[in-house]
Amino acid sequence: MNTFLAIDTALMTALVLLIVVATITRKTFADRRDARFADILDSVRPAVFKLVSTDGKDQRPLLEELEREGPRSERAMRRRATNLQLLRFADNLRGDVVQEIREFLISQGFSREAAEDLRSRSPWKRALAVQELGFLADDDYLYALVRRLDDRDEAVRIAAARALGNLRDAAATAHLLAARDGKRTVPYGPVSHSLLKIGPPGVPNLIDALGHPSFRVRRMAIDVLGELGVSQIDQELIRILRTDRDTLVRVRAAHAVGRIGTSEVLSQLYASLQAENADIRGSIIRAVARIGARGSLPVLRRALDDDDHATARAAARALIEMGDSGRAILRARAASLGGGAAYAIEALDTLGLATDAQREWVRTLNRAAVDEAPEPATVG
Amino acid sequence: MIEAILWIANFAIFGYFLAINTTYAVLLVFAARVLGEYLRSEPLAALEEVFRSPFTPGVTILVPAYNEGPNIVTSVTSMLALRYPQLQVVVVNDGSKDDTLDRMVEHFQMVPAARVDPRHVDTQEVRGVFRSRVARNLLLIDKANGGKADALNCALNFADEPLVCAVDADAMLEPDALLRVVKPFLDDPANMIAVGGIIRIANGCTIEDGQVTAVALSKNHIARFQVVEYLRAFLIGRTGWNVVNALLIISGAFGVFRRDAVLAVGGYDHKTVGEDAELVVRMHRHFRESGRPYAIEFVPDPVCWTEAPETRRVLARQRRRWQRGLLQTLSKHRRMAFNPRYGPAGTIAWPYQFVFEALGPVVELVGYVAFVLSVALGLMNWPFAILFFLVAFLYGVILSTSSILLEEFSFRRYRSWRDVLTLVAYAILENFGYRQLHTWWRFLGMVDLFRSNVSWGDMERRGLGQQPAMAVAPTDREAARRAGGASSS
Repeated sequence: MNTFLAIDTALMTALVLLIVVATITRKTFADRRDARFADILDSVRPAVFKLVSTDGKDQRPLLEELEREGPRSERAMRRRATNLQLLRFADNLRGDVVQEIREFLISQGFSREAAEDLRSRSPWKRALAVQELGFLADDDYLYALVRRLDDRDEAVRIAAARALGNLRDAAATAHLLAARDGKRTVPYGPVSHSLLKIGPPGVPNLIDALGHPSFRVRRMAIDVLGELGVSQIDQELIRILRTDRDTLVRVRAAHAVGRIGTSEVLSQLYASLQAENADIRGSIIRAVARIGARGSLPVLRRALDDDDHATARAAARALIEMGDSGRAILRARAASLGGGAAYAIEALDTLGLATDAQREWVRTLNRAAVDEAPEPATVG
Repeated sequence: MIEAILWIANFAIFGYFLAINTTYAVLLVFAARVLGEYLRSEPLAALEEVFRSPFTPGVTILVPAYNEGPNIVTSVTSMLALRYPQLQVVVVNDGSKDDTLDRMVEHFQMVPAARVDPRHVDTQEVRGVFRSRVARNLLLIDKANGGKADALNCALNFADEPLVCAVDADAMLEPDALLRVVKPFLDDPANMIAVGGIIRIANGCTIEDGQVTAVALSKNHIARFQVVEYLRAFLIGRTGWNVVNALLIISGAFGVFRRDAVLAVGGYDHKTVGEDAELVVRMHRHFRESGRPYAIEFVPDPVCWTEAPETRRVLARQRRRWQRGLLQTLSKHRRMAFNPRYGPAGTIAWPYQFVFEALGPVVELVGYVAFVLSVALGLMNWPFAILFFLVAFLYGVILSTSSILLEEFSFRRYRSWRDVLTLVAYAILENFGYRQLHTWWRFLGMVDLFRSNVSWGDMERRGLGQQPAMAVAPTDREAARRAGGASSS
């Protein structure tokens, strides 16, 4: 036993020393690297600023300057610093500037080098390579990136989804949607972001996905179509709102109808207010409010007395947004009794239109609800 | 006979140490893998994506405040300044005896508001609701004292957004912290119900306008020990448990929850002092029992800075309370123990928490008693005792230094050599005195529970960043009496 413990002690002492040495080494290395990187970043930054604020042909000398400077040993770090700076601008730049930079970097062989790294065993390298290809948006590598949506490493899959968004190629839409289903999925955030970037060219694939067996894919398609304002699917959305087996998908369908905002579907939305699920009713009221048609005033007035707190509040807020006629309804409702009156007063109060007496009435109502309050906590 | 008993006790304790530290070692391996993945998947674009996405859910920050007068304005100001597209802040004055309410009303120009209390969860009486003339997304609730859980429930009732973020009134979130902690909800909107962020200790840091602007270690020994402890607990413990979807604790100082999920389980439990852990365990239980898929996650990067106790008296109270809260939670949900119905939370995390965290102090104290008895009775096998001590000590040092190494490989918040080496030194020193004291406090926490002592005790606050451009120094003597009020980790 003692021998075993002695060996164990020796091994663990060695391990502690190793960890301490590793910590010190890591810090030394990281500090130096950070300092060098900061210097390089400082030297690159003015050129990048100049680059992104310059038009057309004047950019080429700047790009060459960025590429030329610095010793060979610092080239990789310089490339990273440049990419980092450019990435910071990537989403804010439009037009020729981005294209010019990309073409230059591609001509320097950046995308070829990155594509080689896609086959690396290191997930770090693969993820970085995918990010670089995403920034370069080189169409030649579309399918190489699509294959990375099934990478064994989640970080690489996420980077691939983002990169495909940068390519803005409709051919990626179906693959991105499929990446929401299956064993190796890609999270909702990056996929939705990329689908929105691809935009209208991806709409046919998105419409096809409305009938997908996976609720994740259906939800994604509904959300993106709603954001893109694709009015041709409003009837399909109403069908989903009424019949889909997944409650969350139905809620999102109502939300999308509101985003699209066509008043032709209002009567069907009113009919769907019979839904038992409060989340669905609330989302329909919000959709009706968003569409903002004067014809919905009676529906919103009725919704003030909905059993569900969120639905009633949404109706009150919608009415306050609908100008004088909406406010008149709220004033009338506030003058009578019941839960609806309280929400009407609450909405009026946000514009300072509630009276002191009305505010006091809501306060009394809140107090009256304290019937079975918990025991006070014992304090120290 | 006695010799045999002591011999068995020694071996049992040795086995226990081996098991607990091996569990930690496994968690360490998991954590290292997860941190690597996390850093790979977090390029610059990710946060922008969350900020710009039309699908990013809104967040209501719930701020329970009891006698937080010295900190409340700075704290709320920093929360309102967080970078997030859809944000509401609900401050609940939980019957404070100081000027918390007056300071809020005066600074934020709060006026009485008509606001319906939907009473999703029962709370103590709401005395008044105020809205701000200068910050449209700020709501102040004045209510009778009911404790932290009750204040959180009250804030929950008034929250408008689909996500709620529970934050201590003296906590400081980094500007991007909400974007980072909400990202898992955007990535998995159907299943994600709770996400916790990392808590770091602000003592010693420079704070300007409610933000930590320079990270440094405190000069106070007790605060330094806690920095090592927090690194170990968050970077290894929480990150590791996250891998097996068995995270039972999300710190009450900073956690984001889906509001409908919290309401579905009935809100915070005001009968326990560990309401944060209890809520998470109840969520595990509820979702498993109802057969609904769910996910609870820990994100190691969004940082919440908080003030750690700097005196033994206050730290002892805090740790006794935590131990009591843990025992209450485990006892309330004992049905989950070893029950496969509750997945890894029931089969791995509950037994771990019970055997190693709840019973740990007893086993360790028995070990010390056995040691003393063995010496007194002349039965000590010295070579074995020395080697045993060394193994136990080295295991602890390995874990603590590994957490510092992980920190160096990942976030590198402590930039100065002095701070890093000091942390390494404290990772070794904590085994001589601090660890034993900690064990004793946790044991007293168990005793408190059996004596039905359910008080929160006082929490001395020195105050963080009340003034712009100040360093947290032990000389700031702004102590706030906190009874039934707002802080736990």
